[in-house]
Amino acid sequence: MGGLLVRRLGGQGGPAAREAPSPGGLVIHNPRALDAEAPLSELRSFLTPNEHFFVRSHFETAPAVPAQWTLTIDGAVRRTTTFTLDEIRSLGSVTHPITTECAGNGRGRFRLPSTAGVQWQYGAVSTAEWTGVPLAALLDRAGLTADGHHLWMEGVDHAPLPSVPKLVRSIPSALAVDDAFLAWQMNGEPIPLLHGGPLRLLTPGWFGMASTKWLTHIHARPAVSNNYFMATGYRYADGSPVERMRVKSVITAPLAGERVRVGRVRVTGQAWSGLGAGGIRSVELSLDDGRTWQPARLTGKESPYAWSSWEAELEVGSPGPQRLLARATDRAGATQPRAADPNPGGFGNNSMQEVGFDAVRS
Amino acid sequence: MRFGLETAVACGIILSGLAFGCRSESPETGRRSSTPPPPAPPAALTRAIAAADSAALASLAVGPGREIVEGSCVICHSAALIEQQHKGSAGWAKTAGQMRAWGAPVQQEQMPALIGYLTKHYGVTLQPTPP
Repeated sequence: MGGLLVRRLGGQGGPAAREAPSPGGLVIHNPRALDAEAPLSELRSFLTPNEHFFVRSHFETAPAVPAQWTLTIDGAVRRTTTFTLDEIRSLGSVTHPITTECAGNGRGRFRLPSTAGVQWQYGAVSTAEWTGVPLAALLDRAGLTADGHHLWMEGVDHAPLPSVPKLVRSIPSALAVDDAFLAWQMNGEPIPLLHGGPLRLLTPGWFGMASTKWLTHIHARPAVSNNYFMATGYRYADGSPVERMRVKSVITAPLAGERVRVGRVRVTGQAWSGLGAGGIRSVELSLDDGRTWQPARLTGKESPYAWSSWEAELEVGSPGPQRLLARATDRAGATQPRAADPNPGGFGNNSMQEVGFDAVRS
Repeated sequence: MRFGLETAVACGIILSGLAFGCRSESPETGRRSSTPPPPAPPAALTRAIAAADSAALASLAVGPGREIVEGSCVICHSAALIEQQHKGSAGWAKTAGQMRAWGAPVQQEQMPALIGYLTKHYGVTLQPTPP
């Protein structure tokens, strides 16, 4: 288990980008409200342990949640319905491994002269087994009506100042009926407060802000949410909404700056996509700046909602600095670009990761 | 001030966890809920969060306008969120204006000094991002 890394920033205008280890399990980019990513060394297993699962908080790190938790569905429904946690759990349960990625993951790698928001590197992505009930079961009970095209999700978290708008994310009802579910367990344990417990929405394939933490209300509406963060915040440069994850991969070994022996070098990583169920078709690796590519083996479980673990042994024939590239292709045919087009919000950076390491003779 | 901020952050997280020390009962039946409460953040992480928040506040660039950041911006979020961003004066003016519209306690006459401070110390730059 790795230590917690605190990314120390600031000091006369420039990020020092210095990482100092301390106990805990995450790289803290912003301590309040907590934004912290997983060290790449902790993303080698198919499931990410809860203590290393990245944390993104819009307003509060660990809000005060009521002991008597309820979820209310109102709006375009035949009857406004309030469920207790026990009632939700009594509707049955399913368990899915799901990969969740922050829309800003990689923002700090865009190398833009002007940047806003949390400067995530590669680790704002994680996979957990979530246990819950399909949202469709609750919508059936409330009686979603024909004009309830969008579901506006509201959690308990809010900014210290009441005049700051809450995050009210909406997702299409059709998507929710097919894929979304309400979870109360994460990797077999009650969902930790940091990760949205006791009740969190999971919207597989979409960036993490569509998986509302601390969910208390679902408002069925005819149109998409006009909330500030929906209408203005989470938008690409062309104005389109930030929704599905893009095909992407990370290299979990070797790590940047690592020294490895000349010869067969074991390379591992994860690859995922939000484009359609079925996930990743292939992962390829290059040690010559993309002139030639070698295939990696996809390993582990195959799940429509989760990443694919991959591995390979590459021949490194001579000592010295090496540069490793990885690119993933998903089953919809989308391939990671060498460099994704930057956008002012720094969203959806699925550029190929480039890892520099040193090969040495024993 | 550093101790106060650190303590406030730690207490906030701890109190969040204590909220679940109460009985959990169904509002309809009055029966105790069988659903266990969500685990509170680990103590080591809570301490690290508080320490990082204090360190970020202490490392704010020294200069005119810093006191506005200390008195207004960090009410809602850590100074680290400011320190890792880089914007020109138009960008910082947009951000500061949005925050003020949302209730940040900054007077209109303080805005030029605030934007000037942010632009001078956290302005446009090319971040050194090692491979």
